[in-house]
Amino acid sequence: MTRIRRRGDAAFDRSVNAFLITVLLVTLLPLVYVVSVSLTPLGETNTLLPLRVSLNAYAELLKQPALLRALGVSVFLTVTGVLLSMLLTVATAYPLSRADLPGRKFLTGMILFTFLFNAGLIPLYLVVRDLHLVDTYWALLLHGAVSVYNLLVMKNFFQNLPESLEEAAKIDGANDLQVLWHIVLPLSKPILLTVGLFYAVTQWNSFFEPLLYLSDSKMMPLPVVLRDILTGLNSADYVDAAATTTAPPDALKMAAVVLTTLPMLLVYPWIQRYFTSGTLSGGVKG
Amino acid sequence: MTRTLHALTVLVSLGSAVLGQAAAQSADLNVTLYAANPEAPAPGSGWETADLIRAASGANLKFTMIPTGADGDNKIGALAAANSLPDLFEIRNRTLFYQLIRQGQIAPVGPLLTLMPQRTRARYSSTTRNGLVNENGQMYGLQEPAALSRQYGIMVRQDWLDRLNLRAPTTLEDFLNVARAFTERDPDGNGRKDTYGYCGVIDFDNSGIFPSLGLGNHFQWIYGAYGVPGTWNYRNGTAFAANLRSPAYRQATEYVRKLVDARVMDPDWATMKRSDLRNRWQQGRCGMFFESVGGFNAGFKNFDANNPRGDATFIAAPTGPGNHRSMGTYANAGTLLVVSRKAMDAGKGQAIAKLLEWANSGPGYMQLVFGTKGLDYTLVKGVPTVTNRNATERLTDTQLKYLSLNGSTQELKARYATARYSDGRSVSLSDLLAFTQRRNNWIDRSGDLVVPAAPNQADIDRYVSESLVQFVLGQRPLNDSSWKSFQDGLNGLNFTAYEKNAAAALRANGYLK
Amino acid sequence: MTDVLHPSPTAARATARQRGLQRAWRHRGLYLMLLPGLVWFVVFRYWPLWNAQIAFKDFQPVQGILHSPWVGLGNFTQFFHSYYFTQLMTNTLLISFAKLLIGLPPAIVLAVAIHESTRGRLARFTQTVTYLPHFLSWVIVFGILLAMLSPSSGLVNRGLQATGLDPVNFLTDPGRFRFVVIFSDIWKETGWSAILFLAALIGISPSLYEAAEVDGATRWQRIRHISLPGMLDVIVLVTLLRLGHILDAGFYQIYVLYSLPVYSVADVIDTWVYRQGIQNFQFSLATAVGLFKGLIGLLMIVVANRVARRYAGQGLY
Repeated sequence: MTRIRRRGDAAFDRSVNAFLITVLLVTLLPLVYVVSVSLTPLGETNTLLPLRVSLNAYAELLKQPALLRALGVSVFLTVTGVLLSMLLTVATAYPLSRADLPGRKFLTGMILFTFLFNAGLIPLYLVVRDLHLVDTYWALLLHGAVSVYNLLVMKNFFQNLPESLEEAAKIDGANDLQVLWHIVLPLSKPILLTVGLFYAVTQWNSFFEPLLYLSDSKMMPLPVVLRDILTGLNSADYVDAAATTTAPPDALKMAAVVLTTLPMLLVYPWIQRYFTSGTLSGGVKG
Repeated sequence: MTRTLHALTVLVSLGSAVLGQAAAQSADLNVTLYAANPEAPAPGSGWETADLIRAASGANLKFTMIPTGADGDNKIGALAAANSLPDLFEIRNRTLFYQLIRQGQIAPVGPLLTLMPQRTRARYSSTTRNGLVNENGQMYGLQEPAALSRQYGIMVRQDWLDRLNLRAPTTLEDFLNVARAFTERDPDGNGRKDTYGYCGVIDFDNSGIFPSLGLGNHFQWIYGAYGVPGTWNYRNGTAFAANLRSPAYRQATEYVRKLVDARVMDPDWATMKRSDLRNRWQQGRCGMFFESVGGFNAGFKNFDANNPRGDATFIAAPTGPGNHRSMGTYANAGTLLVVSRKAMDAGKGQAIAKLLEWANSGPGYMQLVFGTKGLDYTLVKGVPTVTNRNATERLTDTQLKYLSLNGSTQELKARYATARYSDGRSVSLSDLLAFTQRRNNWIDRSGDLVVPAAPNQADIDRYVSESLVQFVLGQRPLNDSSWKSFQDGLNGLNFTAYEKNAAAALRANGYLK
Repeated sequence: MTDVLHPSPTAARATARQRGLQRAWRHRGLYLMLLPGLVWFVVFRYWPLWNAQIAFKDFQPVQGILHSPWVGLGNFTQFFHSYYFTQLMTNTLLISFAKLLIGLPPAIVLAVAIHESTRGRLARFTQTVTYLPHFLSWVIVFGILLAMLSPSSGLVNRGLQATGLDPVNFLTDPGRFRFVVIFSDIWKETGWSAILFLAALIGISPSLYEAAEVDGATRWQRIRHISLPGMLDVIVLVTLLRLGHILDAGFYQIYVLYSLPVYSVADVIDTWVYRQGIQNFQFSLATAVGLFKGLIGLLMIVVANRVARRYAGQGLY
């Protein structure tokens, strides 16, 4: 985006950038601490910057045979979960965003109602049991497939798109599905990516639900397995033979955090690319 | 990867649908236990032990391992609410136990006893222990003996004592003096004032120790030194009441406050978690600290690396005025196994009894507790000694050990081997265990297990703990009127009714005369 | 009763209904599209709500939900009459409103700053970094807070001591604890919340900015007259949704961060329900409190929606 430079802009730019750098530093300090603790070797005190660096904690974690399988499970759950959630969310949000759809207010209200009245742990568990989904991945994929929050955010975004585009397409004889696919979705990339990311992160970090709905430890996703490893190392009141760890418990804990966060860190810049490339200009002008 | 996993999901969901119908015909036995070795996975299909169990009991074992702590409790709670309890499972929360009896979800186990004569003789022949699971004249659970208890104690840095030329404290007075020296006289000689006399946190974990109302496990020894450890006053001849009604309880609280005021405790004590405490003693910040033998073992390596020539050992519970001393209270009871009524109605009782009997027999015991001979352990002078070759597999293989552990000296020797310092010194963990068990004057308060929880138990717990913390931190003055208002506040919580119910339950079970 | 000038109301209603039906038929494709989502809501949200009748019952799993005995409002009164009820409500509302009022503006400011920055790489990097803390669990954040704030070894307190001040125990001081809660929440979630506002900013047509530039608007003016109005509906939406959950003060955060010395200012409804309802297996009680929270949320949303419609011209429905 090219901008015409004006007087006062330079000062403005400077203050914006100074603000960003401040935010950056405040956020970064504790994060650096997390990484440096994960690199602290056995027998060293945790410091903001490590005096000596050791990758033992990572090696120790990656040695766990259950970890790779759990990683696979988490990737599978996140990918299928996001696809399913996005499908349901878009298909529900789009019709509800059409101002002329009879019954739209009632249906939106019905959905909003469920946002306010959360039945709670056991009532939902009983439904999942009655559907015979306990001990299957369907329980994890379905029980929270649609988030009302995400749904309303998406509906709002659709509502604010210029109506002229869709009307033009309708005149050209396109049906609702075609309008959604060819006109609306390409214009909605920022919100699709945002909501997709929200779903992905929820599924990726999901920890309590797998414990509740699954029993087989071989089916457990990454957060559960990492927690098992960590609690085993930390609350070892009943430990049997000598623990053969080569890294301090804190380093293991923080290394586990870094390992779980890493995949999401790798995904994000890719999403950001779409964020910053100004996808909308073409459509609106045309 | 994704495709295989997807196929797996479909298979699993199909499988579970089919299983729902097949379970009634084949002798599938769903067994759910808390993780014995949380850091290792549960055994999978094709597990050698499962074949042995099939041969011994005719049952097709379906083993589920649940996490220890609140997550596991919640899982059992959800299964109970869904009326889909496993056939044989473990309960750690007594409130849930009584609730399941009331709801008719678990079956009396009396009929099983004759089917497993040896196990019954070895484990269920104590009337006091069986009394813990009696309700309306029926036995609703298999109360195992304690396989391990009283493994906690106060550890002291012996090398610091030596450097400062001090002796290990034996009285509360000594304790404060040593704690002061550890805080102020730079016991590690690094020139910085970065050490503390005593490190303990507020912790109500119930592994091998009995959490009571108040400040939690790490401070119970102070109440023990004043003769008021635990929640209830069992003394004959006095009116039954909670210990907190006693003047000695206030004196003990005043002693804790003295420790806080003297700044000999890590100032984070009120907020830290157990893992933070462990971190600190491993880093050499604590002169004395509350720890279990298992916890010491787990942090030993890091401690050794952080503190060259460091030496930590247990001291006996210090003596208070009136010559009382006790590290705290404990229950002489271990795992509580229960059988769901559905399983009993489906005729699975026989298979369950056979499995348990086998788990108590020689070969079954060795298999479940130590794994496969030659692979997971070898016998050295008759004592099973674990091999270090396949640690994770061994831990996986022994996930069912709670069905078998008996707490014998031999077993503890095998489970608690030797820890070796890098400079060649070594310490026998089973000796440490023997010390904490025998020298700490632990008080058996198994009766507490039959005391029903108050309907507002969480509020009572909070009120007492919070008030005590406010007293010892100095957020609230500790004088006659404030102590009285603390006592008066109990009325708002219906505390008297809680005491009355406790007395009735303890009397009914013979713990009070 | 029929007025000469007006057609009969029944007839008018009939034609209106006919027109409505016609319109609905025209949109049959949209209804078909809605179907899977609606089925999901019925199965995974309304069916559990039906099950939530255990809030009014003494739930007996063996008998099932339908055959469990009714106890009326007993579970609700247990909560209302609990010893700490007033304190729980006060703490919950204080923390919740503070998070909304103090926590939301930084996210908006951050989104605008990232959007305005002329240093593309700095902006992108800041965005990536600020969203990272969202991934740390509260247990880890507690560990970090202890490392920063601990009176014995924390960075902040070492700084205080270096300047001759007394160390402060932020985590056990009832006067300071709520600030720790609010600011740790801001640190952890601001970057993450900003993503949504940023998406809204990117959705604003660039032609609007270009037109403003041609008109000679300053950067401040462009923010005020284009960026903020462009985000307004998202801001309203987020605020309304948060008001709907006003009685959730962030269970996990409080549960991990609180300790006995600060219970009086930190204990919230959800932590109480966890201790009394979940850990003591009083599921009916837990469900009852959940419904109560929903009722309050409904009231909040209805009122706030009216206000938002009047003053911002935007609403949730």
